[in-house]
Amino acid sequence: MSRTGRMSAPGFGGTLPTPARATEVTALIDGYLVNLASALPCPRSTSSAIVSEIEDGLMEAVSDYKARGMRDKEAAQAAIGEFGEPAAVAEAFRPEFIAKRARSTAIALIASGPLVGAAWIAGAFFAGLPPVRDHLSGPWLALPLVGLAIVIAAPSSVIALVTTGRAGLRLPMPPSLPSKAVSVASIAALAADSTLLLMLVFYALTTPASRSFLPLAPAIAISLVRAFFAVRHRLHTRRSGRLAVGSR
Amino acid sequence: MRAEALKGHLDALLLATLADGPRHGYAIKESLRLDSGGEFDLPTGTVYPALHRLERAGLIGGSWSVVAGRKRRSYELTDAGRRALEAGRADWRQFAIAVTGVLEGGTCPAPAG
Repeated sequence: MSRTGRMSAPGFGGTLPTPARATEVTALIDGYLVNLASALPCPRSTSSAIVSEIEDGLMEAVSDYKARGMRDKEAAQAAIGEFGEPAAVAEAFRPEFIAKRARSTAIALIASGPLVGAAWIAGAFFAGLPPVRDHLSGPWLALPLVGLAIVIAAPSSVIALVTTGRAGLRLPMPPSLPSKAVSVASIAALAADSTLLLMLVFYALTTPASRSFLPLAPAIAISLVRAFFAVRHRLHTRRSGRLAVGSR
Repeated sequence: MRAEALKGHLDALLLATLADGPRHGYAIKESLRLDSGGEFDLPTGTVYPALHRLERAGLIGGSWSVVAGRKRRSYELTDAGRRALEAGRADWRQFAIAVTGVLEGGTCPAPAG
């Protein structure tokens, strides 16, 4: 595998020229890095940065061993032995990837919550929907489910955010708590968005065609985007879980 | 010494290796080994993920540079990291005095500072 592209780290815009190395060292280090890159359970942009970081560490270790009198190949083998099996190194990163994903999802949910709420309330108001004017009826009877989902999603997101931040280093908690909390939050957010969209669809099917739903377009778009990311988070989480089970 | 023996202290130890200035991952690992007289020779697979965890928590900051044609990620303490290091040192002094008091016998001296 060419090292071009695989070694690019964020902000560098591609592979930098590497100094000439002994062929044996290059082959050993590159083989290790290729195996590591394929074992890392994370997006390519993240794995490229980690591989670059490990490559630098490996080369430092090789220099160290050579300074102690080892030959090139011997030094490379010692450095690789010191770093450990690529699969083991990749596995050691797994909790960090899961925590990072949980944190970014929690931040996205917390940030999008007020936006989604404001967009739906404003849209419903300007579209003159029944829930604004009259008592709840028809499909709008499901509206309390949205409230329930929000009541579940908000604290779950906050728990995920807190436990993946600084406080998480000191809190005694099961390692899986942030991941579980954000899974609950994303499912609840998906339920809220789905309920809102389904209520609107049912209402649109039973109302005169002359009614304009244009004021609700931003709310629909935001909910669809959030639902897409919630589903994607679930798929990534399930895939990570399967990989974790498979690697044991 | 096995990595499990450092459980609960690894974060403070890693922060301590950065007290004198920025370092890259391998230099941090080597500093830990040398400063402990070779006792804390951790598997590298333990050190890099721990550094990423500390960075996520905002206790250290990472930045890329180019050294000898290679991309290098170096870490340095943030203000929160310096505070966490001081707290870690204070916790350790208190813990060490208490353990010494029990294991060696006699009255446990009050922690200094």
